[in-house]
Amino acid sequence: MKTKVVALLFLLGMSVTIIAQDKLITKTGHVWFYSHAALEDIEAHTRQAAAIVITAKGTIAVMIPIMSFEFKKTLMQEHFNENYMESAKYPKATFTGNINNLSEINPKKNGIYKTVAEGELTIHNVTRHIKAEGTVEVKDGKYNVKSKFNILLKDYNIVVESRFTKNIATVIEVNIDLNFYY
Amino acid sequence: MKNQTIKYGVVLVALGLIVGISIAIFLFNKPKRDIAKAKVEYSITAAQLVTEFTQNEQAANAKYLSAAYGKVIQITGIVKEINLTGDSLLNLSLRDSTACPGSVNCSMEKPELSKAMFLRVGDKVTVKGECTGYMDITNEVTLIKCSLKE
Repeated sequence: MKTKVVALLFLLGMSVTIIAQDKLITKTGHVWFYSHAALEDIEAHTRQAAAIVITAKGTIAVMIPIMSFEFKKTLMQEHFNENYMESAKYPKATFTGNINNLSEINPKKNGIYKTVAEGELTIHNVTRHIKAEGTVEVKDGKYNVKSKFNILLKDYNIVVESRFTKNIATVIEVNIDLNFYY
Repeated sequence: MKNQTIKYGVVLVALGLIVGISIAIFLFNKPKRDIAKAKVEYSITAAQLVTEFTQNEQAANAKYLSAAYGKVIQITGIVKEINLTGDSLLNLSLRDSTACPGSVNCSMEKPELSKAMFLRVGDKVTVKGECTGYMDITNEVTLIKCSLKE
């Protein structure tokens, strides 16, 4: 009886470890964006992107607190939150989708693999299907996922007043750098 | 007499311009909010904060976020994780005990690194920062511009 319980506990412990290895997590992903317009360049960074990847299925979920984006100028940050993103109403951006060929990557072999992520991106309460190229880097069993893609402000109902059209670009370059811990 | 009026008019317009331009320049270069010196709106434990967000995220968002930025809050908790996130950048993850399911993810201000790098997992700390919301996929409340309190 005792051995049975021990064996059961052992199996349970093992399965938990296997499941744990299957799941990659980060809470400190780096996300930043650029706006290149006629009159000025704007950039903002956050290191609070949360992401979970299930390696066997290749699924990914990313969540970004909008208010965590920091700008060089305080006034820009306030306008960004208050006028454009309505951050108090829609406090996060999310992405749920798939990373192609992730299950084919060998976690024991170091290297940089090109890939494509596809899924639903929600910003400012608007959800759109997107496809973005990127890389998965494996280094000593740890994963790093990077991507760079463009979004159109009007796609996400973000309206820039005509007097600011020379200050804010219509196309924003988004960069993602997810440093998974496990 | 007419000349006099024009003179005053010109002086007035010039003064107006100077004041206006100064205000515009000041607003444009508005200094960063100094969170370390800002007034604390709520002072609670890490577990209390996480619980408020898990139980009713909308109500917690309404309480801790204002239109232009997150509110300044002070959190007490135990260091669960320390993660370097870039050049001189560090995030602290706080909770109350191992039984606490979620945690509070604090992005520290650069000058805080010299103090924060000496922390160890398990240390009890108080952190002041600006609340930026709740990430339900990892069960973490997020804070930026954080500083350690003695």
